[in-house]
Amino acid sequence: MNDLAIETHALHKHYGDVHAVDGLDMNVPRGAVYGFLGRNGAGKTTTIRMLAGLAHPSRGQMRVLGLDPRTDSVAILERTGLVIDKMLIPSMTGNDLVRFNRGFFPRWSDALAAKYSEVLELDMKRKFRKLSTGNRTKLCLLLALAQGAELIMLDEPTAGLDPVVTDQLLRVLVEDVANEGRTLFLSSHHLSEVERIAEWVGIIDHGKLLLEGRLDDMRANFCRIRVVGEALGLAEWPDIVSVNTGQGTTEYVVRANADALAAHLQSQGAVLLDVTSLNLSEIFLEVVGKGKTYVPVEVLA
Amino acid sequence: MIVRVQPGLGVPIYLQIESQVKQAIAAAALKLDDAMPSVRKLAAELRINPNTVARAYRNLERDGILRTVPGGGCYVNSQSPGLMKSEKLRRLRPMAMQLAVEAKQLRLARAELLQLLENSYDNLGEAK
Amino acid sequence: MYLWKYWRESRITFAVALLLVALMLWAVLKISLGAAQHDGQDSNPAQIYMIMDGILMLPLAFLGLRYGSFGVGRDLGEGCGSFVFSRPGSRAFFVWSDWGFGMAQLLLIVVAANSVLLLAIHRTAPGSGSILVSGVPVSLFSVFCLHCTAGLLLCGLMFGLTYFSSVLLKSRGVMLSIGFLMAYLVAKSVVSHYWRDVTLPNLSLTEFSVSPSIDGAFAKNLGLIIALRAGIALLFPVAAQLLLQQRDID
Repeated sequence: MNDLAIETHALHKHYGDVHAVDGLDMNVPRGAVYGFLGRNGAGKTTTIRMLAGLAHPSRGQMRVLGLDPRTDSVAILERTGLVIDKMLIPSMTGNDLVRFNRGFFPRWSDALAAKYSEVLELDMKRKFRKLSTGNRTKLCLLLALAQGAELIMLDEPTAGLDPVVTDQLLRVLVEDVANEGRTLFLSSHHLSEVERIAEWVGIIDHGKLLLEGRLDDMRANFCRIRVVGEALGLAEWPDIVSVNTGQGTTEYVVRANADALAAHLQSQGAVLLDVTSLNLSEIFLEVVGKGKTYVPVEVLA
Repeated sequence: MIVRVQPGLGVPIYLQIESQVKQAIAAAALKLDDAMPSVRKLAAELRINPNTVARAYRNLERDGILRTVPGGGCYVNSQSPGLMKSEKLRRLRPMAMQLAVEAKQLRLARAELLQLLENSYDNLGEAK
Repeated sequence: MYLWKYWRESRITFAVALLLVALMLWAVLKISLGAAQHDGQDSNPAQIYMIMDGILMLPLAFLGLRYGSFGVGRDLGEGCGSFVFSRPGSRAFFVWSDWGFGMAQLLLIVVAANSVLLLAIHRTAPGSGSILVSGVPVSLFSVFCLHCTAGLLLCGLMFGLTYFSSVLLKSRGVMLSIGFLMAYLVAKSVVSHYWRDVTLPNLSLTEFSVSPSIDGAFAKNLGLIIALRAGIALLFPVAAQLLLQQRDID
């Protein structure tokens, strides 16, 4: 039994010249809450669609719950709750959709569906096309959760939702997914929400995974070191992500071993201002954002 | 609500939880043998990952601030002197440094700084 | 339950179709009495059949077309294809569930309509257990079966064509199907006008049932023709399944 809920190796998806997914290597541990982060158009949705068996990869391998979506998608889908697209059958009401969905899943629970409709304050007698964006997302989530799935994959679940609905959603996800030991895989660019509930994070950009790991480790390791002076530089330091100078200071952002670099700088005579940890948003911008580049300059002793 | 966290800070959430629990105990909001909310409950209320809460509780237990009972449940422990004095000093040193920097920047006299510290300490009530 | 979804989409059409058949029945019951009195022995069951068949052809074609618009094609058109196809089930399951349930309903309607026709014949020419087809007496029951088959094949053809077009072109699929139907009917009359000795095959099998050109060839070719048409009609759902398996769902 694999201890990974999802894994991909060198996964590619090309649409003509566009490489939506360009060599993705991703590992999602079972039972984890994994935040799949990326900008718009980074390849998040395309990846999830391939994992769900809705799109065919151009190249590479993937495994969901140990099975290949290309050949065993039915078995995977029986155990996976999905929210992609957030578009359900427009002419059906919530109750209709429950009735439709029920027959597909052996572990379906009407009791759970009823509970969530109360918790999420959903009118189950309203046709789907008449629901607001927030209520549509909530209904999609209800269907995915009442399934009794061991893996839940959500594509941008909080997109377009107001803060109250977002909060309701997060509570349900923590209470009924994270607490139950199920695997939750969610793609988003709403970093503040992911930062709360995710244990693991994977940052995707231009179809490739740039960074993957435990969020706590990332936050402990990614630091910004500020020193006085603008004329400093560093010939070779492997962990530096970016260097920024201005207003009499130089900032080094490192992905690990901040203490070592700080000590090194001090030994060179630099005056240390501070060493601070980065939050997820800052890490994301450092890893994905353009504009700051590493400038190799000789150290002035 | 005993614990409130802010995910956007650079400080990891589990550390925030730990420091807030310690603060609550120091201010006598949490007393000896009080029950802590379960991991599940606290995680749901704060909308954070249960493993983060579990980690904070584990650390607090390691430091002797909380204890777990067989059968579940976390309770406030008597503040056992589990840590060596050197460790306690090590932990407090950065805060002391920061206080000193601020005071110097504001040109507060040394005696007044010490007075400030004493007042804060006394305001917490009986030291445990 | 997946079939329940198809039922939701098709039940009104089904009810309306049966209602129209009931209307036919009422008309037959009311009118044929008068016709019998009026025409007497001059009423030719074969002629009546031909007329009624001609009348029924277009409605049946449109009925098949309408049924073809239900199912996964509609879901793809409404944008919920990702939801439907992320339910655990092979593409084949969805396609053949749609097709099977749709054809079953069409079968019922076709049989009902033809039963009413049979009743009409029975009332206008009572006692005649057979129809003269090019001088050869064929039992009414055989003609009934033949017409049911013809109707079902026509429905099946339009159903398959529309279903496949809907999968291919989503909301524009029905348009394509209607376009084909119109174009074929136009082409048929154009061809028969300019090239007298060439006729495009009729969409139903009327020519065989009432006025076959050659005697012996009637029975021999019929089986082949039916098999051929059934094959063509079945090609469409197969093509739809293959298309869905090969293409990305969006």
